[in-house]
Amino acid sequence: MLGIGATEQDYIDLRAYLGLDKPVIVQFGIFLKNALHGDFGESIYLRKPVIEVMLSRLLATLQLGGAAIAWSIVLALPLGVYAAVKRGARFDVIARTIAVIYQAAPPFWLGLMLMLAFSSWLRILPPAGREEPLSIILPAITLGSWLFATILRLTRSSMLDVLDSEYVKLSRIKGLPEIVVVWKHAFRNAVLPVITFSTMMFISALAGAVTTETVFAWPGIGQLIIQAVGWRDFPLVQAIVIVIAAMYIGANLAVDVLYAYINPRIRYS
Amino acid sequence: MNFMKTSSNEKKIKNQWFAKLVRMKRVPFIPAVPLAILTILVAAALFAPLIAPYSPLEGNLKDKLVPPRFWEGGKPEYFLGTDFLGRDVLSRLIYGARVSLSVAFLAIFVSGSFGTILGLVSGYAGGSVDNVLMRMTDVGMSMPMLLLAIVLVAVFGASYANIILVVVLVIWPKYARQVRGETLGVKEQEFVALARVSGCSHMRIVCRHILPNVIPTMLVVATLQVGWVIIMESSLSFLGVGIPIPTPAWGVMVAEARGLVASAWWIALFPGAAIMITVASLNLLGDWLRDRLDPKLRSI
Repeated sequence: MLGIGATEQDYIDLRAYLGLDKPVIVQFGIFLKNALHGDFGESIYLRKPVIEVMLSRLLATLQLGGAAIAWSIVLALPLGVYAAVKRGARFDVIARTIAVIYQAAPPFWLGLMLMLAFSSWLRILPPAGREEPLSIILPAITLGSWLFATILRLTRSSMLDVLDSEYVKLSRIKGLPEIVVVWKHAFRNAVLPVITFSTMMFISALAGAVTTETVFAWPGIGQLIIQAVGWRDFPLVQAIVIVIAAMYIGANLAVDVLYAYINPRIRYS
Repeated sequence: MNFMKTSSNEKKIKNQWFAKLVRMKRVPFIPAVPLAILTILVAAALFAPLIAPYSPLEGNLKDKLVPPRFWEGGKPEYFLGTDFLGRDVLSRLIYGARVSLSVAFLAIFVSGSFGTILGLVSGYAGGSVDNVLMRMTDVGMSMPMLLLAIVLVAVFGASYANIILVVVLVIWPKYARQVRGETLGVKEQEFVALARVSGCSHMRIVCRHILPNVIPTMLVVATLQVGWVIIMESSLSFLGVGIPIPTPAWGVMVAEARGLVASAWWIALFPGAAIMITVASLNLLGDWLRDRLDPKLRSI
């Protein structure tokens, strides 16, 4: 952090400024106290409060993650149900093949290939950045593809289990229309494992955001953590890690609550 | 006469071989095709110096950015083209299989063994040992794994050995959790109580009676995780915090191609496709294994 001409006094001053002259335990105590007050210190590289740097980036990531989760759920749930209903038919085979491919494709590569196809060859979508409204499309597709595949597979397999159950047979025997059997009776139970999985979705969206944001130069928190690691900007890295871990734990809690709300058989005492 | 005999014998053998091929039709697609792909990949990784037509590190600058052979402007000597330093993409791809597969298998092996031991101890001992170990896994699992890996690499520095170490640190809790759960179930069964009554030591009960019951689960979890580790390693390499640069890892190759993707698509396409095919094969195999060995693991 100091230039070549730094004197001994400069070193001492900088150590005192960063608080490195105190014992590690004391340093940690100070950090903890400040963090609990919402003060994560100052970014070494940007010379700005960490919180300020993070908040603007967090918004971009949440926007991208939200778009990715939204399209993947909206498409994967009905397709998964339909694949289960049409088990073994051509539609089912195609849906499963797509899911296997999407689950295996590394996001950074998928992003590059989409960029190549839609921005370089077809020239219909912007390749990177966040300036134009359309520029969210490619990163959202990239980030959501793994989610899409996983939700589709999960919906399909849990739907198959439910369709095989006694009460679905009964509702068929009662003469209910197939659409009511599938969507009202079977789907409601089949969707439960999918909801449990949504915490995982949230994490993978955040973690996947690191590579996706790097590929598309999307100014989010994933790109920031890579930059912060490159800058050796430890206060910034620390703060990002804490914020993401907190979000993850919060998401876990939210899912548990949601789960009890949706499935009345589960009660936490 | 003798000659005739051998030829008719040969014909017979040929026919048998043909009959076998016909019967192959009945071998289901799913263990067969992924297994074949993985066998080829492992062979390519093991015999890389024999198979690869060129050195993965030395390029010929006169032949840089040559398209693949089947594309316009391609040269017959470079099957998948060359990159911006004139290195043969196919050779780098073959050597890259070494890096990706060895990192994945070593990491899975170490974290699988480590996690299994801790899971067995935790589940069998119970009480405060269990509590301490499980809180450790809680800490490990309270972060998205890729982010944790990035931070750990930032601390340890990027090298081949450190990548394996980081992957192990990130994924062992998963195994420990799974094995602990299984152990809790097996521990309560009668044969364990009987072993106890007949005077077996704790060590013997864990190793001879509980461990064999836990192994199928471990195999399934491990197979399903190998593909995931390959994606993680290549993502780290892509981000520049993984395998250091001149080494031909698949993720590094895609990263190097990033700026050139519009003009030289082949440098990016092939390594990514290699990752995708490998991971898809491993996942299909893992699913198949799970349905055979332990269908209740569906949710993983």
